[in-house]
Amino acid sequence: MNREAATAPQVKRELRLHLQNLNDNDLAKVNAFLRIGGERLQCDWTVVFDGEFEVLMRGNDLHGTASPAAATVCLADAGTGQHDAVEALARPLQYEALLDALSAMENRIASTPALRAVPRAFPPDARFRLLRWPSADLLQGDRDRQRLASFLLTRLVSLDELARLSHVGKPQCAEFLALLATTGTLDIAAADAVAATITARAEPRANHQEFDAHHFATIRHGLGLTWR
Amino acid sequence: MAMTQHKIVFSGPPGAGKTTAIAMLSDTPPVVTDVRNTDAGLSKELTTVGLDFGQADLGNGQCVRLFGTPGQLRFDFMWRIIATDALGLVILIDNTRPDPLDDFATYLDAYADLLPTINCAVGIGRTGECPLPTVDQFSSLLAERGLAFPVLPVDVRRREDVLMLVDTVLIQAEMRT
Repeated sequence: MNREAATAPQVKRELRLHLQNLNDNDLAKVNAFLRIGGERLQCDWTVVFDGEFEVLMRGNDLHGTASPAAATVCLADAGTGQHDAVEALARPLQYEALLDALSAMENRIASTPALRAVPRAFPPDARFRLLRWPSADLLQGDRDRQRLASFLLTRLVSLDELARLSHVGKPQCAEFLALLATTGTLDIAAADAVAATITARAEPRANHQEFDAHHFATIRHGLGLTWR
Repeated sequence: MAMTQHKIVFSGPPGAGKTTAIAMLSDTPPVVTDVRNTDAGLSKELTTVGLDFGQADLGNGQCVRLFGTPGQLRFDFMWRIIATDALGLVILIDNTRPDPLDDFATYLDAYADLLPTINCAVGIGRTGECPLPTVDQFSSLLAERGLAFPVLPVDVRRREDVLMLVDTVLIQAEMRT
């Protein structure tokens, strides 16, 4: 069913890891481990030292700093007890421990709407399709979101097309797409990739009758589907 | 003027609410083939052994015909027959049954060859009484099979819930044209 997934480029979400109060040895290790193990992670991690970020990784001698970050990892010396916390890593920093912690952060960010940051802007010619039905947590029982997700199930659609077909405002559609992109359930393809795969995609309908938009409007009206 | 008919099929295990869902949309009381239930494991007085039928008139000679499949597994040979050439398929699951995910898998197996091309939605009922398995677990089961359909919690006694399921089916049909 998801034939485009094999051919269209997948866009990994970017997450920014803000390193704070780490020594040179720790900094070098984090950078090296990310360079070596980045492919293992679901997101593209970028180390930053200022500006906005999603995850803060800080040294153990920085106590009680309020953080606006989505999540915090504390790197503490072994034996200090600080590394007993769920989001703590023990020095000396180990490759597996760092990747496991970042992977856990990815899952936490993806599953908690309040922690999701808006991802990068999509290319203007991007087309979108859902690879699986979104989580109930993301849909929040919202009829507009449920309808938007339905429009994204069958084929690749652009933001403009999604807004036009669903009668949902373009900003709302863009926000929803951005949320979906953070979960890894959205197939995002450029227009040229769409053209390359469109012939392979053609899936015949089980019902061979062909209807236009007016026809579906008639059905909806007749059934009393009035919310859009 | 030629009559244009659309068929929407409600399928699912006994007690999932197929008859009720059809009654929510049908202009007239649905034609049912209920008999007294003799299945001790099913806590309902009547159960459908043939099929349910309702109809919603759209005007201008058009109508939506609503079919409900019999729930019992022994009638599974009828499920595919009823769903053939349907505009959409709605699978209803009762989350209070002993193994709702297994129920769901049974229907995915039964409709396996239709599902890649049919417009389908899944409604999970009685999630208030029984929140597990979660709606997301049903979505995951679909994903494991390479399928993606709307999976929504539903109270079939609420017309707007049933309409929402049908709307997601219509959206898929619209996107395929």
